[in-house]
Amino acid sequence: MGFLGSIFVGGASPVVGYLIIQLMWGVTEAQFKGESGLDAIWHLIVIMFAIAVFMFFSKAMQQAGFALVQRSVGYKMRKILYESVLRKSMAWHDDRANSAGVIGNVLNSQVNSLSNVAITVTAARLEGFGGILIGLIAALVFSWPIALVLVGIFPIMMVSSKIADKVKQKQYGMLQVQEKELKEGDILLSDSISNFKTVASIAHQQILVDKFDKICEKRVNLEIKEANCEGFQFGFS
Amino acid sequence: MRNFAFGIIYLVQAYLVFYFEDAEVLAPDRMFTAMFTLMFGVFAFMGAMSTVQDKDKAIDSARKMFVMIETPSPIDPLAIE
Repeated sequence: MGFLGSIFVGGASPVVGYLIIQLMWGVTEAQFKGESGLDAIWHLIVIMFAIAVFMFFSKAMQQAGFALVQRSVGYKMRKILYESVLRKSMAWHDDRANSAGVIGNVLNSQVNSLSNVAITVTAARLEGFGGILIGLIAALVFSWPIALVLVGIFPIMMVSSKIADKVKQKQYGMLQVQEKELKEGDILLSDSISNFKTVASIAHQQILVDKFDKICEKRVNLEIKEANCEGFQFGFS
Repeated sequence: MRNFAFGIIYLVQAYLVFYFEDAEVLAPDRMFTAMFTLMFGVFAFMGAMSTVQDKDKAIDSARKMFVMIETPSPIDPLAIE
Protein backbone atom coordinates (compact mmCIF):
# COMPACT_ATOMS: atom_id res chain seq x y z
CA MET A 1 0.00 0.00 0.00
CA GLY A 2 2.80 2.39 0.98
CA PHE A 3 4.88 1.43 -2.06
CA LEU A 4 1.98 1.97 -4.45
CA GLY A 5 1.10 5.30 -2.83
CA SER A 6 4.71 6.48 -3.20
CA ILE A 7 4.86 5.56 -6.88
CA PHE A 8 1.51 7.28 -7.55
CA VAL A 9 2.55 10.48 -5.73
CA GLY A 10 5.89 10.63 -7.55
CA GLY A 11 4.34 9.78 -10.92
CA ALA A 12 1.63 12.43 -10.61
CA SER A 13 4.15 15.30 -10.40
CA PRO A 14 5.29 15.21 -14.07
CA VAL A 15 1.62 15.00 -15.08
CA VAL A 16 0.99 18.20 -13.10
CA GLY A 17 3.95 19.79 -14.92
CA TYR A 18 2.45 18.74 -18.24
CA LEU A 19 -0.94 20.19 -17.31
CA ILE A 20 0.54 23.49 -16.13
CA ILE A 21 2.32 24.08 -19.43
CA GLN A 22 -0.83 23.06 -21.33
CA LEU A 23 -2.87 25.55 -19.26
CA MET A 24 -0.41 28.37 -19.94
CA TRP A 25 -0.17 27.48 -23.60
CA GLY A 26 -3.97 27.16 -23.95
CA VAL A 27 -4.67 30.58 -22.41
CA THR A 28 -1.96 32.30 -24.46
CA GLU A 29 -3.16 30.71 -27.70
CA ALA A 30 -6.82 31.56 -27.00
CA GLN A 31 -5.97 35.18 -26.19
CA PHE A 32 -3.88 35.41 -29.33
CA LYS A 33 -6.84 34.19 -31.40
CA GLY A 34 -9.23 36.51 -29.54
CA GLU A 35 -11.16 33.61 -27.98
CA SER A 36 -12.13 32.90 -24.38
CA GLY A 37 -9.19 31.51 -22.40
CA LEU A 38 -11.50 29.73 -19.96
CA ASP A 39 -13.27 27.82 -22.73
CA ALA A 40 -9.92 26.60 -23.99
CA ILE A 41 -8.68 25.28 -20.65
CA TRP A 42 -11.70 24.34 -18.50
CA HIS A 43 -11.25 20.62 -19.19
CA LEU A 44 -7.62 20.90 -18.06
CA ILE A 45 -8.75 22.59 -14.85
CA VAL A 46 -11.12 19.68 -14.17
CA ILE A 47 -8.24 17.23 -14.74
CA MET A 48 -6.05 19.27 -12.36
CA PHE A 49 -8.72 18.99 -9.65
CA ALA A 50 -9.04 15.25 -10.32
CA ILE A 51 -5.24 14.86 -9.96
CA ALA A 52 -5.31 16.84 -6.71
CA VAL A 53 -7.91 14.41 -5.32
CA PHE A 54 -5.92 11.44 -6.64
CA MET A 55 -2.73 12.77 -5.02
CA PHE A 56 -4.57 13.30 -1.74
CA PHE A 57 -5.63 9.65 -1.64
CA SER A 58 -2.23 8.41 -2.86
CA LYS A 59 -0.38 10.42 -0.21
CA ALA A 60 -2.79 9.23 2.47
CA MET A 61 -2.29 5.64 1.30
CA GLN A 62 1.50 6.09 1.35
CA GLN A 63 1.58 7.61 4.83
CA ALA A 64 -0.90 5.14 6.31
CA GLY A 65 0.91 2.15 4.80
CA PHE A 66 4.34 3.19 6.05
CA ALA A 67 3.03 4.36 9.43
CA LEU A 68 1.73 0.84 10.07
CA VAL A 69 5.12 -0.69 9.30
CA GLN A 70 6.91 1.98 11.33
CA ARG A 71 4.68 1.38 14.34
CA SER A 72 5.29 -2.34 14.22
CA VAL A 73 9.09 -1.89 13.83
CA GLY A 74 9.19 0.65 16.70
CA TYR A 75 7.16 -1.63 18.95
CA LYS A 76 9.40 -4.65 18.33
CA MET A 77 12.59 -2.61 18.84
CA ARG A 78 11.34 -1.11 22.10
CA LYS A 79 10.30 -4.54 23.35
CA ILE A 80 13.73 -6.09 22.65
CA LEU A 81 15.55 -3.08 24.10
CA TYR A 82 13.45 -2.97 27.27
CA GLU A 83 13.87 -6.67 27.88
CA SER A 84 17.63 -6.40 27.41
CA VAL A 85 17.78 -3.48 29.90
CA LEU A 86 15.88 -5.56 32.46
CA ARG A 87 18.32 -8.45 31.98
CA LYS A 88 21.36 -6.32 32.83
CA SER A 89 23.19 -6.68 36.14
CA MET A 90 23.13 -4.02 38.88
CA ALA A 91 26.71 -2.99 38.00
CA TRP A 92 25.53 -2.00 34.52
CA HIS A 93 22.71 0.09 35.98
CA ASP A 94 25.15 1.77 38.39
CA ASP A 95 27.12 3.20 35.46
CA ARG A 96 26.20 6.88 34.99
CA ALA A 97 26.07 6.40 31.22
CA ASN A 98 23.19 3.97 31.76
CA SER A 99 21.11 6.19 34.03
CA ALA A 100 17.32 6.22 33.84
CA GLY A 101 17.31 9.44 31.77
CA VAL A 102 19.68 8.01 29.15
CA ILE A 103 17.76 4.72 28.87
CA GLY A 104 14.49 6.66 28.58
CA ASN A 105 15.97 8.78 25.81
CA VAL A 106 17.14 5.69 23.89
CA LEU A 107 13.77 3.98 24.30
CA ASN A 108 11.87 7.04 23.10
CA SER A 109 13.66 9.32 20.70
CA GLN A 110 16.46 7.05 19.42
CA VAL A 111 14.08 4.20 18.54
CA ASN A 112 11.79 6.75 16.89
CA SER A 113 14.60 8.28 14.88
CA LEU A 114 15.86 4.89 13.66
CA SER A 115 12.46 3.51 12.64
CA ASN A 116 11.56 6.85 10.99
CA VAL A 117 14.67 6.79 8.82
CA ALA A 118 14.29 3.11 7.94
CA ILE A 119 10.79 3.78 6.60
CA THR A 120 10.99 7.31 5.18
CA VAL A 121 14.09 6.54 3.09
CA THR A 122 12.21 3.81 1.22
CA ALA A 123 9.12 6.00 0.75
CA ALA A 124 11.16 8.98 -0.45
CA ARG A 125 13.26 6.93 -2.87
CA LEU A 126 10.22 5.35 -4.45
CA GLU A 127 8.43 8.69 -4.72
CA GLY A 128 11.49 10.49 -6.09
CA PHE A 129 12.54 7.85 -8.61
CA GLY A 130 8.93 7.37 -9.76
CA GLY A 131 8.74 11.11 -10.51
CA ILE A 132 12.08 11.24 -12.32
CA LEU A 133 11.40 8.12 -14.40
CA ILE A 134 7.98 9.22 -15.63
CA GLY A 135 9.24 12.79 -16.16
CA LEU A 136 12.20 11.55 -18.19
CA ILE A 137 10.11 9.27 -20.39
CA ALA A 138 7.62 12.10 -21.07
CA ALA A 139 10.41 14.59 -21.79
CA LEU A 140 12.10 12.20 -24.24
CA VAL A 141 8.80 11.67 -26.04
CA PHE A 142 8.00 15.40 -26.33
CA SER A 143 11.45 16.81 -27.12
CA TRP A 144 14.49 14.59 -26.80
CA PRO A 145 17.10 17.37 -27.31
CA ILE A 146 15.71 19.34 -24.35
CA ALA A 147 15.49 16.15 -22.28
CA LEU A 148 19.19 15.53 -23.00
CA VAL A 149 20.07 19.13 -22.09
CA LEU A 150 18.23 18.71 -18.79
CA VAL A 151 20.00 15.42 -18.11
CA GLY A 152 23.29 17.20 -18.86
CA ILE A 153 22.44 19.91 -16.33
CA PHE A 154 21.87 17.39 -13.54
CA PRO A 155 25.58 17.24 -12.58
CA ILE A 156 25.47 20.98 -11.74
CA MET A 157 22.45 20.38 -9.57
CA MET A 158 24.18 17.38 -8.01
CA VAL A 159 27.27 19.51 -7.24
CA SER A 160 24.96 22.03 -5.56
CA SER A 161 23.32 19.33 -3.48
CA LYS A 162 26.73 17.77 -2.63
CA ILE A 163 27.99 21.11 -1.34
CA ALA A 164 24.81 21.49 0.68
CA ASP A 165 25.40 17.97 2.04
CA LYS A 166 28.94 18.87 3.11
CA VAL A 167 27.57 21.85 5.02
CA LYS A 168 25.03 19.50 6.54
CA GLN A 169 27.75 17.06 7.59
CA LYS A 170 29.58 19.91 9.29
CA GLN A 171 26.31 20.70 10.97
CA TYR A 172 26.00 17.05 11.96
CA GLY A 173 29.41 17.24 13.64
CA MET A 174 27.98 20.07 15.71
CA LEU A 175 24.83 18.07 16.41
CA GLN A 176 26.93 15.23 17.78
CA VAL A 177 28.67 17.64 20.14
CA GLN A 178 25.23 18.98 21.06
CA GLU A 179 23.98 15.49 21.74
CA LYS A 180 26.96 14.88 24.01
CA GLU A 181 26.05 18.05 25.91
CA LEU A 182 22.43 16.93 26.01
CA LYS A 183 23.49 13.55 27.40
CA GLU A 184 25.62 15.28 30.04
CA GLY A 185 22.61 17.39 30.97
CA ASP A 186 20.38 14.30 31.07
CA ILE A 187 22.79 12.47 33.37
CA LEU A 188 23.09 15.48 35.67
CA LEU A 189 19.32 15.93 35.80
CA SER A 190 18.39 12.31 36.41
CA ASP A 191 21.19 11.89 38.99
CA SER A 192 20.24 14.99 40.94
CA ILE A 193 16.51 14.27 40.86
CA SER A 194 16.77 10.61 41.83
CA ASN A 195 19.18 11.54 44.65
CA PHE A 196 17.43 14.77 45.52
CA LYS A 197 17.40 14.17 49.28
CA THR A 198 21.19 13.93 49.29
CA VAL A 199 21.48 17.06 47.15
CA ALA A 200 19.13 18.99 49.44
CA SER A 201 20.76 17.73 52.65
CA ILE A 202 24.12 19.23 51.68
CA ALA A 203 22.46 22.34 50.11
CA HIS A 204 24.00 21.74 46.67
CA GLN A 205 21.04 22.93 44.62
CA GLN A 206 22.69 26.17 43.44
CA ILE A 207 25.87 24.37 42.37
CA LEU A 208 23.82 21.99 40.24
CA VAL A 209 21.75 24.80 38.73
CA ASP A 210 24.98 26.63 37.79
CA LYS A 211 26.44 23.48 36.26
CA PHE A 212 23.27 22.85 34.25
CA ASP A 213 23.29 26.49 33.17
CA LYS A 214 26.80 26.10 31.75
CA ILE A 215 25.78 23.00 29.81
CA CYS A 216 22.77 24.86 28.36
CA GLU A 217 24.91 27.87 27.47
CA LYS A 218 27.29 25.66 25.46
CA ARG A 219 24.31 24.27 23.58
CA VAL A 220 22.97 27.72 22.77
CA ASN A 221 26.34 28.78 21.31
CA LEU A 222 26.43 25.65 19.16
CA GLU A 223 22.87 26.26 18.01
CA ILE A 224 23.81 29.76 16.85
CA LYS A 225 26.68 28.30 14.79
CA GLU A 226 24.32 25.69 13.41
CA ALA A 227 21.78 28.36 12.38
CA ASN A 228 24.52 30.23 10.47
CA CYS A 229 25.47 27.02 8.66
CA GLU A 230 21.85 26.42 7.72
CA GLY A 231 21.57 29.94 6.32
CA PHE A 232 24.62 29.37 4.14
CA GLN A 233 23.26 26.03 2.98
CA PHE A 234 19.91 27.49 1.95
CA GLY A 235 21.55 30.41 0.18
CA PHE A 236 23.87 28.23 -1.84
CA SER A 237 21.53 25.49 -2.94
CA MET B 1 23.42 27.33 -7.97
CA ARG B 2 20.03 25.99 -9.08
CA ASN B 3 19.23 29.31 -10.77
CA PHE B 4 22.56 29.11 -12.56
CA ALA B 5 21.50 25.69 -13.91
CA PHE B 6 18.21 27.15 -15.14
CA GLY B 7 20.15 29.92 -16.90
CA ILE B 8 22.19 27.32 -18.78
CA ILE B 9 19.03 25.45 -19.81
CA TYR B 10 17.47 28.57 -21.33
CA LEU B 11 20.72 29.55 -23.04
CA VAL B 12 21.09 26.14 -24.70
CA GLN B 13 17.42 26.22 -25.63
CA ALA B 14 17.91 29.57 -27.35
CA TYR B 15 20.94 28.29 -29.27
CA LEU B 16 19.08 25.15 -30.36
CA VAL B 17 16.13 27.16 -31.67
CA PHE B 18 18.50 29.56 -33.43
CA TYR B 19 20.47 26.84 -35.24
CA PHE B 20 17.66 24.31 -35.88
CA GLU B 21 14.72 26.61 -36.49
CA ASP B 22 12.58 24.09 -38.39
CA ALA B 23 13.09 21.04 -36.18
CA GLU B 24 9.72 19.76 -34.98
CA VAL B 25 11.11 18.53 -31.64
CA LEU B 26 12.22 22.10 -30.96
CA ALA B 27 8.75 23.62 -31.38
CA PRO B 28 8.09 25.89 -28.35
CA ASP B 29 5.12 23.90 -27.00
CA ARG B 30 6.99 20.59 -27.19
CA MET B 31 10.17 22.03 -25.69
CA PHE B 32 8.40 23.59 -22.72
CA THR B 33 6.24 20.51 -22.16
CA ALA B 34 9.39 18.36 -22.05
CA MET B 35 11.05 20.84 -19.72
CA PHE B 36 8.12 21.10 -17.33
CA THR B 37 7.45 17.35 -17.12
CA LEU B 38 11.07 16.54 -16.35
CA MET B 39 11.52 19.50 -13.99
CA PHE B 40 8.42 18.53 -12.03
CA GLY B 41 9.76 14.99 -11.81
CA VAL B 42 13.04 16.37 -10.47
CA PHE B 43 11.16 18.60 -8.01
CA ALA B 44 9.23 15.55 -6.80
CA PHE B 45 12.57 13.75 -6.31
CA MET B 46 14.15 16.68 -4.45
CA GLY B 47 11.03 17.23 -2.36
CA ALA B 48 10.88 13.57 -1.40
CA MET B 49 14.58 13.44 -0.54
CA SER B 50 14.35 16.56 1.63
CA THR B 51 11.88 14.72 3.88
CA VAL B 52 14.41 11.98 4.55
CA GLN B 53 15.79 12.33 8.03
CA ASP B 54 19.46 12.29 8.82
CA LYS B 55 20.86 8.85 7.97
CA ASP B 56 24.00 9.38 10.09
CA LYS B 57 21.86 10.19 13.10
CA ALA B 58 19.90 6.97 12.60
CA ILE B 59 23.14 4.94 12.34
CA ASP B 60 24.26 6.54 15.60
CA SER B 61 20.95 5.63 17.22
CA ALA B 62 21.24 2.05 15.95
CA ARG B 63 24.77 1.79 17.32
CA LYS B 64 23.65 2.98 20.76
CA MET B 65 20.75 0.52 20.77
CA PHE B 66 22.83 -2.46 19.70
CA VAL B 67 25.54 -1.64 22.23
CA MET B 68 22.81 -1.69 24.86
CA ILE B 69 21.27 -4.92 23.58
CA GLU B 70 24.49 -6.82 22.92
CA THR B 71 26.52 -5.84 25.98
CA PRO B 72 26.73 -9.17 27.87
CA SER B 73 25.62 -9.18 31.46
CA PRO B 74 27.39 -11.51 33.95
CA ILE B 75 24.12 -11.95 35.82
CA ASP B 76 20.68 -12.25 34.22
CA PRO B 77 18.15 -11.04 36.83
CA LEU B 78 15.24 -12.51 34.85
CA ALA B 79 16.75 -15.98 34.46
CA ILE B 80 14.69 -18.72 36.16
CA GLU B 81 17.62 -20.93 37.18
